[in-house]
Amino acid sequence: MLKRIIKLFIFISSFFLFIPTIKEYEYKRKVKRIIKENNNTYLGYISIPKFNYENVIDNKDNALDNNQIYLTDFSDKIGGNNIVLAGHNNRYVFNKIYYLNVGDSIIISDFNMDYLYEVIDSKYINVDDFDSLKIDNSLILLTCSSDNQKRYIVISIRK
Amino acid sequence: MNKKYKILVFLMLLFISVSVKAETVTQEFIDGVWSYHYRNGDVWTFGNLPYNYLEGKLVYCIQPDARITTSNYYTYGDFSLSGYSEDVRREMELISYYGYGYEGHNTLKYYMATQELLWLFSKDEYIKWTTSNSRSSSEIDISYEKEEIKKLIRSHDVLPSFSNINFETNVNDEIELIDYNSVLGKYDIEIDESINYEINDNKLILKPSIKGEYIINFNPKVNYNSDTLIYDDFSIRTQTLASFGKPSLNSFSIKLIVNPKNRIIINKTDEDNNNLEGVSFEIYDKDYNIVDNIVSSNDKTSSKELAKGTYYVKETKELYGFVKDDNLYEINLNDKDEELNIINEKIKCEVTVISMGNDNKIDASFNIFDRNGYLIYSGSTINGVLKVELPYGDYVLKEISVDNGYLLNNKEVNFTVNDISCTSTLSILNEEIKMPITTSTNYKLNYMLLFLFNIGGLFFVKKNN
Repeated sequence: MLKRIIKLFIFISSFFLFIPTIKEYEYKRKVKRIIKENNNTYLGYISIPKFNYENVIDNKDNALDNNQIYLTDFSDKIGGNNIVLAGHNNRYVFNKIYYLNVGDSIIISDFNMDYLYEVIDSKYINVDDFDSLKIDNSLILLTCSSDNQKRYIVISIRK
Repeated sequence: MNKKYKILVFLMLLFISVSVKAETVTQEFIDGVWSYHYRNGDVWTFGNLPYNYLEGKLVYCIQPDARITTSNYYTYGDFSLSGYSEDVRREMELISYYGYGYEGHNTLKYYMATQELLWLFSKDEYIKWTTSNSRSSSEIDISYEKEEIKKLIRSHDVLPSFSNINFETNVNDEIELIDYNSVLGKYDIEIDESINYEINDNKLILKPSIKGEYIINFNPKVNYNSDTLIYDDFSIRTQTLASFGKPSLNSFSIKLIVNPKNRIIINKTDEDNNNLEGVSFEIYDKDYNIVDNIVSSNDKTSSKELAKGTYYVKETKELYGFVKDDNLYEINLNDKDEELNIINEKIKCEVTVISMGNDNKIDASFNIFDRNGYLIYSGSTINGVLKVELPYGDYVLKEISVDNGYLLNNKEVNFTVNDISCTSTLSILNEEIKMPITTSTNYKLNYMLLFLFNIGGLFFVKKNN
């Protein structure tokens, strides 16, 4: 009897192992469709060629909860001098930015014009360290550390 | 005239070629008019007064002790042949001019008076006029007529009361010269063309247009000049007759000094040398009489032309937003315009800018622009407070930086500084920045545990089979 229960559990749980992958796939498709349609619902989108990653950018309060990239309220507009984008540290948003290296490219777009940035640094900062976010001609990607106690930022400079 | 003298004159005429022409004399005796000539206190001679005509022209007897013994007379232009001096000649001309025939003097008595006054240059001491050849007949009184003639003669050489005086005036000012002697009408005026003039009875009004010193000549009108002639036949003893030209009149002149007029030029500016338009000034003369009111323009402002002298300038109405200048400025105008620079200080008001966080003061930097968008002030708060002195006007306050942890307030704050809102406070609120909460949701471990559990389960099932 126990063997049957374990077999059934293994069978069912094996499906759960694929759910995140499926959800991520669906989300990527959705993002690509949004970018393609360009219906002005969002401010723009980000593209990280290294990970073949794309996501929309918005400044609505629920943007983070919707796994979108959040244009922070202390950021300049897309194309501005000091852009700070925040995203959750999960597989849909910014968990991959930990793997960005110096020289990697990041592209942001306002649907009309693309802006190319090159990574120059990355580091952890305290949650009240706003000075580290003030860099001219920069695009800064910001996400939480794994323990949520700090912030991890990737600093890129416009090319 | 003694015989020797007459002979001498006759001989002179024989040797000197003088162009003379014989003319016929006629006499028209006047009934009831007899003259008695007194010399040495007694009657020297007497006779019936005639009108003497030479070719129809009235001539006077100037030799009462001789009678007309010929009808042919010769005309001579040399009055000295009469034996009288040039001074006497002029006196006789005056008598003749103002005597019989002068305006209002056309009566017989004026003729008698004229003749008497002429005779009195001879040795006659006194003339008595009677109505017949009887010394006891009625005497004719012509004293009034004689006095009238003498009065006119006395005034003949009287110049206008303003003659030979220097006058001073200013360019484009009128100066009125009054002739209290009432003889101005006898003269023609020779004057520079830059001086407009007008004669109104006894007033001469001059209005010069160019500065300088001018001599104005007053010349007798031309009709006062003509010839005095004597008539005689020096070859015989006969009465010398004469006709008189109009007596000469003296010229005179006055000197007119025309001073230039200049202007007071006011440069009215603020502390930044910007011209201020609309400030009112009064200009006073040395006696504090107002001579001009001017309002400043956006360039140099000139008074009207003013004669040289001392003037005072005072601001009477300032521009809104500026401190009134209560100084009294003294200006001495001479030969050129004088400039006066008056600076008005702006009234400044203290505007307090407070930069606020959620519930506390924070520091921020601000720019203040004027209504034209020019940056006029840039500064930062200290302990959240910034005090700025600003003149009246409309402004825009813009926050340009703020303490860390606060969002820049991008709203432009329009505010006005005036007499009502001279001390105003502007509070600028800044939202506190919150670092986005980007939670880390990593299910890798869960999935790994589930994966390991499944592997373990599979081994367990396989082993128990």
